[in-house]
Amino acid sequence: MTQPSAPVGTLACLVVAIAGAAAGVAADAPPRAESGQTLIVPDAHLDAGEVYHVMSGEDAQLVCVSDAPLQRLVAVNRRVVGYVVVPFDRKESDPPLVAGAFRIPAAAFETGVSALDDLLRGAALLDSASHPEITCRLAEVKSFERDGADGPARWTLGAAAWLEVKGRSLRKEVVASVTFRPFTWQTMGRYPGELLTVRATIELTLEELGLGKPGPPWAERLADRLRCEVFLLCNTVPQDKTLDPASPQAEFSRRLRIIMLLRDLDQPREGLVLARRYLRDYAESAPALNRLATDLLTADGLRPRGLDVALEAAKRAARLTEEKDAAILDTLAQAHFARGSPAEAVAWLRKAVERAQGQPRLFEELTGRLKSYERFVEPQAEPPPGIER
Amino acid sequence: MRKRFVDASPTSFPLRAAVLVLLVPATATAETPAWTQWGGPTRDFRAGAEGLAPRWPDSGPRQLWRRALGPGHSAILCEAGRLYTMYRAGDRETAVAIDAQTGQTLWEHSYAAPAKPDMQADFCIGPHATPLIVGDRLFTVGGTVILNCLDKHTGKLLWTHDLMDRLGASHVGRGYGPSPIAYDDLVILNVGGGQAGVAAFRQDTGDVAWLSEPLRPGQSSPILARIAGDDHLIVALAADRAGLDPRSGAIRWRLALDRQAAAIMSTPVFLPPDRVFFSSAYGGGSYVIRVTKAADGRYAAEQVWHDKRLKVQHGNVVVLGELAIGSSGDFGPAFMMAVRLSDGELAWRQRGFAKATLLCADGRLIILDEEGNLALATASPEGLTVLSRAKPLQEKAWTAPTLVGTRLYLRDLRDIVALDLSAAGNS
Repeated sequence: MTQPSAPVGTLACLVVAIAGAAAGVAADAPPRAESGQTLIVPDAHLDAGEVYHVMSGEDAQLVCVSDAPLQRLVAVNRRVVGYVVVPFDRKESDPPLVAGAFRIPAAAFETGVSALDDLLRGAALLDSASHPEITCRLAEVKSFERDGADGPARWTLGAAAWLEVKGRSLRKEVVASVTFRPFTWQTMGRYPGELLTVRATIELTLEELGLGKPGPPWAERLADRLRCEVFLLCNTVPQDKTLDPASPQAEFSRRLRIIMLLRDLDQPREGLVLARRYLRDYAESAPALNRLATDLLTADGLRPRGLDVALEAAKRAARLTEEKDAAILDTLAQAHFARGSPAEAVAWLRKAVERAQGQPRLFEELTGRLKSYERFVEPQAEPPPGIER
Repeated sequence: MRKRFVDASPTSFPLRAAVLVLLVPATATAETPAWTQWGGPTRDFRAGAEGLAPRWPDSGPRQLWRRALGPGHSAILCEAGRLYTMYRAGDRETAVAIDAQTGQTLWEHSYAAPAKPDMQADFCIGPHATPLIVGDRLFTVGGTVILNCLDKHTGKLLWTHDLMDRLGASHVGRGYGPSPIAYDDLVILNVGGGQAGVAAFRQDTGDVAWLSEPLRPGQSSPILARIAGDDHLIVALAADRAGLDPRSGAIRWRLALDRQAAAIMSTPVFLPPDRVFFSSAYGGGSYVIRVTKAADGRYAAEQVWHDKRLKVQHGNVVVLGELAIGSSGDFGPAFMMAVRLSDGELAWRQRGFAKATLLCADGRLIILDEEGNLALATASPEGLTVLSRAKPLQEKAWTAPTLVGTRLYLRDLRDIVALDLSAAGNS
């Protein structure tokens, strides 16, 4: 629809209505899009302003600290997705945000200790198998104030948010800081697009979250109160938008979904089923197969990594290109290496290096990898039959 | 100046011809529809088509033919029943002539154009520039700035320059994109290097006619405008907006904008009698400047307004009445947006399209977004009304459409398509 410029000040009155427009239930956040890396933004929010999508993957977005007498736990979540909405053509008198919704994968909290991660995900605490996501929605912006006149535009917000944990909703008052980082060639170094950050510190109790302690040993090892530091870097360019014209959007979205299921939501069966379906649907596309294999081999934190699928995809891509494409042979070598076959990896990588003659940057990268792989190969190891040295 | 187009389709020709006899001055000669350069006859994406269907069937406008082409973003030229464009296959670039009726290849001219080691190949290194037809010649420029002059009838190479070798031209990182322009017996194009900002060559021999002073490279295509009785070649190179004497390459006026405006790719729009509209993405926004001539004959340019809201990346802008209309956005969401030419104030913005290119014909807009969605729309100061939609392309479609008569030619990174937009063909 056409969005006329809104009169100054009227947007402030609309925040509550807009924030609630997407949700029937208090803490409902819109569902994830096909890729899983963004949410499906409701029309009411699209019409309200510019949508900034949360960028997940690298930042410590949620840092939750439990400071108990006998144990200090820090759980970090880097897989929060969602969005906030900034009014179009915002004036100083308008609130910086008019809507926001987030999904937090319960299985993506990491303490750095596997047993503790399992405990967090387990039925006694977050129960990620039954409740894969915690959701959050901006309910109301009650106050907002500009911080300082110089530097990036930074605002302090008094807001209320709905949080839903294991099916239980609670409303939390939050003080947040929103800093706008419009596109410059410096911000481009992080992400292309208009950026903003949301920072907040939230105090939570296990009781209000509806979480009990797992058992007697945890009485002194898990605090009743948690402090959660929030850092969300948001971007007008969604994370699931392919910027490479040669990589079709639908194919990219499917790969992102596979990765999300294997990594964020701890749903390996569903992820591997989708990966197999991708293999079938893109059976004749060497680039698409190579991209899937590369993602499975290199994406952080996959559980499991899907190495069989990666190898199958790389083999097929190599066949389709008659073993002439250096980058694809490199992927095949990496798949063999990841599956514990360094000799085969070295053999394929040597072939890749031969094919990379005339591509200086790729040649340099492959020869470097070849050297690192060769350290794992017995001196007398013979290449598998049918592979030329 | 070209006259209004004539629909030469067999069904409508007799009637149109009769009307033309009545309307066209006796001294004028009726011209057959053509699209011989980037942006069409007047380089402003306005087509003189008439008789377009007011709406399309639900299945989309009638497809005349479709065929594989190949990667590249060069727009499609059309003249005398032939289409001309370019594509890439491996390390080679190809200029191709295609039968407009059938889609069959008539000739190809292919040449080696491997990517340079310092090119960023992630967006397809070209060809991006649109060829140029002048008389019997077809001028093409590839992603690595090889300028060729071909016989448009046969594809025979008449002369060639590797402008990176010869003039230190820039491939602008992701492949050269500005489309050449003709002026008298010259073909003029940006080179953006240490030796020259803009270069002009004799169309017949390829000899260098002039080189401008050095200017930084840019992806925006030049335009020609007549201001205060003189011809101006208007270029947008990095942060510089400049007007050159197209006969000599001397810079008549020059205005430096801010750094965010340096990545301009869209083509300037001349607003007679003396203003020029520019738009760039990446935080640049839109500018209108005014060019003035002093009593001593010297020119100067000043900024009239700047507004960051309409930010056109590599698409284009059309002017409709007092509005500049374009697809605003770079890597993220794009809005169709209109701003007032008088002061840059936002008239409207509308979602529902990905990043798009557009043209204006028969009082309507034809919009093609990068996802291959095509729309027929009308625009007014109050908003955009989408009349019909279709999805004729499946791959990334960054190439502006070409409309000749009632035939629309589109391409993406894979296919080229001819569609019939006539009322008769879509009843």
